[in-house]
Amino acid sequence: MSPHISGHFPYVVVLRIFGLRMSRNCSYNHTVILSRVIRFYVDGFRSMTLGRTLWCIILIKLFIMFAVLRVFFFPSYLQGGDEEKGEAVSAELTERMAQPINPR
Amino acid sequence: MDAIDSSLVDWSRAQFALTAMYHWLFVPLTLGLGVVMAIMETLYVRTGREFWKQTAKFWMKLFGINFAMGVATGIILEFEFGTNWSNYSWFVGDIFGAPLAIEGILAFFMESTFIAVMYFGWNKVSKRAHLASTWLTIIGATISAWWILVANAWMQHPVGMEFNPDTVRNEMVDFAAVAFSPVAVVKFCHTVSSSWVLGAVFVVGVSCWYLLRGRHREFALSSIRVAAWFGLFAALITAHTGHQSGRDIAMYQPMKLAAAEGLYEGGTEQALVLGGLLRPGADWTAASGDDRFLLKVEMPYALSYLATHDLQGYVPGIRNLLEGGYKLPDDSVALSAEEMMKRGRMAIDALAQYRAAADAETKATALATLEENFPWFGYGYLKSPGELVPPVPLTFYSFRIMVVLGGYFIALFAGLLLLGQRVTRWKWAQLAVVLTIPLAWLASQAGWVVAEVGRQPWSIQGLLPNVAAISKLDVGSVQTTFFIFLILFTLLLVAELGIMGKAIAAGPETDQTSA
Ligand code: HEM
Repeated sequence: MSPHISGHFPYVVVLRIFGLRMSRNCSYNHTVILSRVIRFYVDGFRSMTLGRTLWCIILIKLFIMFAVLRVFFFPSYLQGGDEEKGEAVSAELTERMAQPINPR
Repeated sequence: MDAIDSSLVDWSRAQFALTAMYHWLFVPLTLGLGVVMAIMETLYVRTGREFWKQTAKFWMKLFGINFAMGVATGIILEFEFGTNWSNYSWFVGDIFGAPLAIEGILAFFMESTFIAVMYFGWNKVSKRAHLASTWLTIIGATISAWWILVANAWMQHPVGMEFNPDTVRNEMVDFAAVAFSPVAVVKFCHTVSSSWVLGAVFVVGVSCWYLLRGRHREFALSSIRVAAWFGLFAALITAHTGHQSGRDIAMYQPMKLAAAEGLYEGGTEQALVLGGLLRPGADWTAASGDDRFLLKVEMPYALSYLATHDLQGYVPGIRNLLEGGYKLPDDSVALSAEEMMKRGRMAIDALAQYRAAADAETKATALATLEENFPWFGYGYLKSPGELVPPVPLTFYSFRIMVVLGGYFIALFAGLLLLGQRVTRWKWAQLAVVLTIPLAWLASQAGWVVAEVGRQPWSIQGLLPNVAAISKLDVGSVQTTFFIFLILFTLLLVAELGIMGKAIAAGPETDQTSA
């Protein structure tokens, strides 16, 4: 591999994954690569048919899960820093110990 | 003692089961259909025939629908850990967190990259690069499953960790022991191969539907041929790994095996119950004169052989496991449940003393007691030995449903391969294959029922029963979320079935290319 290529190796890999090629005299930099990859996705999304419905469903679902369920129904039970959480769990774990009520 | 309402345990379990089972509708189809579509595309790249490209594209479309519907259904499970199973989440520490974090990051990067190339890259990347993306998509999904199953396997057989009484958490001391524990490896192989079976059943089922309707004949026959070979291979691996799973539970979770076999009184030379009817309402937690089976068909010696690889091998039944006193494989004598419960209480008591101790000496004594009794820590939360017995009928019947269907799938794939093109003449056979589709889900869900119901009452085998693992929430709020999910998931499922049905009805675009 030539020194020129090896310096740009990570860019070349990213481009190859997306089937993109750079022209010889084009300089490799983050912005160019990023914009080409973004274009790959944008073109892909544009040409979708059934995919649009599926994306709508995914977005609605993510909204319901994170914005509604997470906030209203799933607040984290343990509060505070690690020490407080450890304290709380240890209190729970020791309090719940069973007394033998039905020895055999 | 601070009482935990048993209905809180039940509702928390029901809620988790509902979300997990719903999630599990999508995962096995992703894992199974993914491989089928990748095989189809491989055939396209090898033969250059446009027909295979369209075939691959059609199955990819169904894969995409299923994938989209399955995305995020697993997230709810992670919410539930924080809310309903907070003690558990804290107690497992990084053992659960690390694999799940790796899974999340890996899945995100692999899936967002390679799925995009798979769907958007047909005319942009070379054939081989596209094929590589397709395979990497499914390999990525399978690796994701690995991490989740590692976490699950750890709960069934906790290894590679040490309990830290200062933080009240388990800490990973041996990553390899956790990631490659024998239970994790077998679980992964059985789960993935059984998902391949499900994917193959789906493909032959949909293809037979086309045959029934007299549509897409070549597409259907080609898909059946590929999926039946793949399905037969997968079903044989499933049977083999299922057998290894049985060995695992005989070793690490003998109560699960006893429940799955309906074995109350164990012994040597034990027969395997091939099929049977349990007496409704029989008490499995205490000795009684009644026969617990209304009828059963047995295979002599088979259970001993399956569990120990020795026809004379000793297999403990529920009573033996509760009473102890039999010889373990390492020649030690099994403890009774009472004794384990006593040791568990000593461990919990020692933890409390350790944390409350002001002086180093008391701390050291408490720590020594805790360490000595830690293997039985979870038993200290049980009120009576009977709590160690899982729901026997559910475990017993689910096990039989899974295994019988496993045998049926082998016969189905072999039959389809033998029939070849002749399947087009037999409408009833086509119908039977279509009707088999839901049975693949039934087998897969039954497998999880065996694995999860069979391990009750444990969240973490031997260390933490559900009663200690759950958060003390209001039962009403757990019930409310249960019903919200039920409605939400039913709606989503109807939407998925609708979209999937439409895509199937539209059919593949192979007809223009197949002639
Ligand atoms: C053919 C004979 C089969 C045998 C002997 C068998 C055996 C087993 C056993 C013993 C378990 C419990 C493992 C544990 O608790 O750790 C299990 C679990 C499971 N089985 Fe099967 N099985 C068979 C076929 C199938 C089939 C056909 C499917 C689905 C298509 C399936 C899907 C599952 C799943 C999803 C699990 C839960 C995950 C796991 O614990 O591995 N099994 N199986």
